[in-house]
Amino acid sequence: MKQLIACLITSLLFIVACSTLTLQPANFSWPIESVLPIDSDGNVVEERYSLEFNTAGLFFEEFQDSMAFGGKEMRLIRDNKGYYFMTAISFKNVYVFKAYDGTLTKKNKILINETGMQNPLFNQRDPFIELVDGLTKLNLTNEGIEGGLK
Amino acid sequence: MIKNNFIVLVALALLLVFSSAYPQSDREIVDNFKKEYSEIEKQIKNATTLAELNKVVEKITSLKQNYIKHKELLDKSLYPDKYDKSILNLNSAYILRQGDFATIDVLQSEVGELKQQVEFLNQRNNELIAQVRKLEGQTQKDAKTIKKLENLVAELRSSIKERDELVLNMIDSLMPPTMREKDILTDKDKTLVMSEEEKQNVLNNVKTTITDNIRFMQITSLKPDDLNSIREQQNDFANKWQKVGIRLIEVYADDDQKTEELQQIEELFDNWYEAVEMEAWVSISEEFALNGIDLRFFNNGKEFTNSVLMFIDDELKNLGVKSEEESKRVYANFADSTWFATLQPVWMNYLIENKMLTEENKNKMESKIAEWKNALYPSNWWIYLIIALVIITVATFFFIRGRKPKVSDSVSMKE
Repeated sequence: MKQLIACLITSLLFIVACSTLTLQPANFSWPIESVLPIDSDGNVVEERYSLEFNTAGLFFEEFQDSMAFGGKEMRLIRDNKGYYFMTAISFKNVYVFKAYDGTLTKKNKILINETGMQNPLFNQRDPFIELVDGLTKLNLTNEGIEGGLK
Repeated sequence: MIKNNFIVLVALALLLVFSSAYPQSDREIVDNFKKEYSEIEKQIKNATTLAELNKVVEKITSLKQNYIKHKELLDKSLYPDKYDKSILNLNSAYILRQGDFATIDVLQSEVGELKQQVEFLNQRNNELIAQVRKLEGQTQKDAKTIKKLENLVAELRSSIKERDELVLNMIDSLMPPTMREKDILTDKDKTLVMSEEEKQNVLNNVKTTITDNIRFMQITSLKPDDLNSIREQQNDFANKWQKVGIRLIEVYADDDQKTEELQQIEELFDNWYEAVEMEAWVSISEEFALNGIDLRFFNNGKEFTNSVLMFIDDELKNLGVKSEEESKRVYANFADSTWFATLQPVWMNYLIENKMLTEENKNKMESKIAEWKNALYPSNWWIYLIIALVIITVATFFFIRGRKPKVSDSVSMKE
């Protein structure tokens, strides 16, 4: 029995010692969306938050054409958990990304409109991201549409 | 009629419901705020009158009221300022700009007052100049007339000085210090500074001031003290003109006449400088003429020296031709009554200090005058020398003779 207790205490100490340091609570939300012009190479730059990435992969995913970004603007917002929500005019989906090791990694792809959105925009409605397209208004999380698509 | 009103009311209600139901972008709200903010900021900067600037107050109030409901969003989204700070910035910019107008307003009312005084003095100066000319024109001047003339000249000098100072103040008031420091005046600056009322007057006042000073010197005979004071005044005026003159031309001259106006005023300044220098030579020439000495015309140090040397040379040549009495009279008039009585004590320092005459030329003239004097009054030093020699010889002879022993005495001693 004594041996079992000693083993349990040792294991507990080992687990505590090896756990990652976590600072919380943390809030990553941007107060308003950013509307970013896409340059000829497909890059966008968000100056206020010092964010820069290439959109060619996103356009390939959406249109199967990595050059479809020409003349378009990227709409981008970050929620309180730190997920990036992206979309643009004519997109059917909203893409959810997470920053990881020098990349933006897709976490979710939320289908909004099969025919493509006319004029999508984001609002910060902590803890949700509000998506507005014409009269359509949806609350999004990184997992999808809050309450499902109506 | 009632039916129509009802339709309008329903339409309005629907529009209201529809517009409130229509979702709005937060970003659009922030962008609109920024846009309105920038427009107000621009209007403050571009306002050219106080009335125009005052319209901005309503806009700032309206911006504040319209966006108060979005304060939280704006506080988060505006960077680096927040909603309150942005409104405060606009109010501060408005107050600062209002200060500019207040300064200009005060300066323009000062200009109005100065203008009246300048006009009065211009008229007075013209009258005084006319009176001085009239008295100067009289061939025979009694003591009373001369006294009156002196008083008039003093009055005129003080009046011109007073007017010059007013014009200088006016120039100051017309060009606020902040505008003087600018490299280039924009159209907006020019509109801000320009007083419509002064458009015709300001450059004319500068010209009149210089012209009157030139006229004053032409009709009066001045002494070095007066000329020194005029030079000082002239330098003040020229310095002020250099600082703000170009700016005033930019603002007040018509576009096609800017170069011409500038050239005219610069020429007047040159004439004024020349007149001050010339005045000394004219006054000196008049001093000689008063004593009946007609020197050849001169208007600089070199010419004056040549003229004096030539006059004395002529007199020396005429020594045997003219009577001795006449030659001595001319010398007395030249040297005793003019050169040593007035020129040397009154003018010489002024001429040397202002580099109008070199020391070398001064010495040349003085040597020549000494030579002239010697020719007229030859020194008899050699006669005195001979007399002295004779006296010394005689005295030595008697002294030696007195000490020599007599022969008979020496014989008896031997015995």
